[in-house]
Amino acid sequence: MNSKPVNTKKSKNIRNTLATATGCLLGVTAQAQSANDWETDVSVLIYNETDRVSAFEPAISLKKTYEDDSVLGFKLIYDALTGASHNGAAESDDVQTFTRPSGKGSYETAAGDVPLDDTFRDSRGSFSVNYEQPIGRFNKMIYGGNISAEHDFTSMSGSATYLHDMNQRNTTLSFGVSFEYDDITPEGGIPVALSEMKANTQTQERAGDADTRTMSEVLFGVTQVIDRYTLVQLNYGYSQSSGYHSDPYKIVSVLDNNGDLVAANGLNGTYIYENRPDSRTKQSLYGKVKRYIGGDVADISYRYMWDDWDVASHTIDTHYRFNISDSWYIEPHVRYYQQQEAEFYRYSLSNTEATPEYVTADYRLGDMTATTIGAKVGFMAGGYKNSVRLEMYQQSGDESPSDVDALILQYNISF
Amino acid sequence: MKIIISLLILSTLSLSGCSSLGVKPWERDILARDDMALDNAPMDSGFDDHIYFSKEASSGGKSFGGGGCGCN
Repeated sequence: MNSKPVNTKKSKNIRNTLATATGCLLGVTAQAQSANDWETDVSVLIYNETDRVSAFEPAISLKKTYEDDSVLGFKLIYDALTGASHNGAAESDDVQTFTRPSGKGSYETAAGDVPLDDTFRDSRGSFSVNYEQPIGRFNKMIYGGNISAEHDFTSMSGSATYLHDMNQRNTTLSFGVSFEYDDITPEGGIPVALSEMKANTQTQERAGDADTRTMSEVLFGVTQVIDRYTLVQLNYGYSQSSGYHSDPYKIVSVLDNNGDLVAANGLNGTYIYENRPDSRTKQSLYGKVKRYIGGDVADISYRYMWDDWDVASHTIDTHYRFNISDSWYIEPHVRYYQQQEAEFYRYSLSNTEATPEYVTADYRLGDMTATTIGAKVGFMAGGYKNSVRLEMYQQSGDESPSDVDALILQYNISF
Repeated sequence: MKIIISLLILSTLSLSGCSSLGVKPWERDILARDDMALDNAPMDSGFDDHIYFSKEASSGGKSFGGGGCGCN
């Protein structure tokens, strides 16, 4: 926002208290704590799907620019999830019974309903650090580190990006590398891939308690100033991951030739645990144009992503910020996403066909389109920058598990 | 892959050759505005990346695509 600088005593006091409190929490050095120019952002996100997942996500971000133009930043996020998630099984004309991931209970889905596992409940904490270090007048390094944990998943990642300014700083080239290590410890253990789900009175075959996955990524970028009002960004990304890629909680229905359930293993249907390949190579091309238009600011971006699972997607994202005055703005946002399914995606299998080597019925790997429409309002209140964002997110695909409606509500305040 | 790398090298070379593109240092008043930063709402983009990573089969593009969550 093109707002007046806020330097009131009250603002500084709150900022310093927050910075000191967070600094103590994060173990920041005394030097950083003594600084009094921390930029602080506090946000709360509410994400609510109709009949499915709800998330409550508060976050705090702190950033300080030092005299040598180096920048240190921290971000802490908490994520509380509740609700129900599609377990992968197909809808049926009959009541279906499923065993819970722990193997210690069961749940039922009524005839004609999308099978949802209603024990979906988790909380996640995530902490990240960023440090930007100028090197001479035209170069910069950015280092990042992140750790996040939830009860069945732990992730650690690190990245380094080199930026070089040229053409009187009108062109910036960047090259970054990142590495991520994930530790997956599902409720009940890792199910044996393609094994049949058993009733909770029987013993489920398990492949161990935990598994891992690693991901390496490179990102090349060019940012170009076109004229006094226009900026363009182009990126190419390449990532390779290996290890456990399946979702340990997702199953696939095996139906007879009439599409009816086949009773087995103490359940009235046959379901096998999904199996995805143990590696994935993703590539992406991304372009963004940002332009100042008579006091307002517009941006539009496009991403094409494709991988060796045969997933390919197009994403178009655009904002238009109407700067009503120096102290408030309205910013509509539209996003459109379309993806082509993974080659091993199947809504269900037939009991007369050979079981494929890889199969998933996770709708997130199926054909899908998604739209986001909403707006953000930014305003000054109490001397601080505030914003409220309200958006509708709608997914749709070939089958009803893909039909998801969600509401996104976010409040942000900057000190 | 080779085509993409060639395209990137070509676009980089052409950009460095186009010194007519861009502005002089004293013409950066508008580009220096907060709302003209390429990512002027990093909290929003952070939340969005996480939502879309969890609900779709794609990630990354504008930045690294790792998720740091077991949601996909």
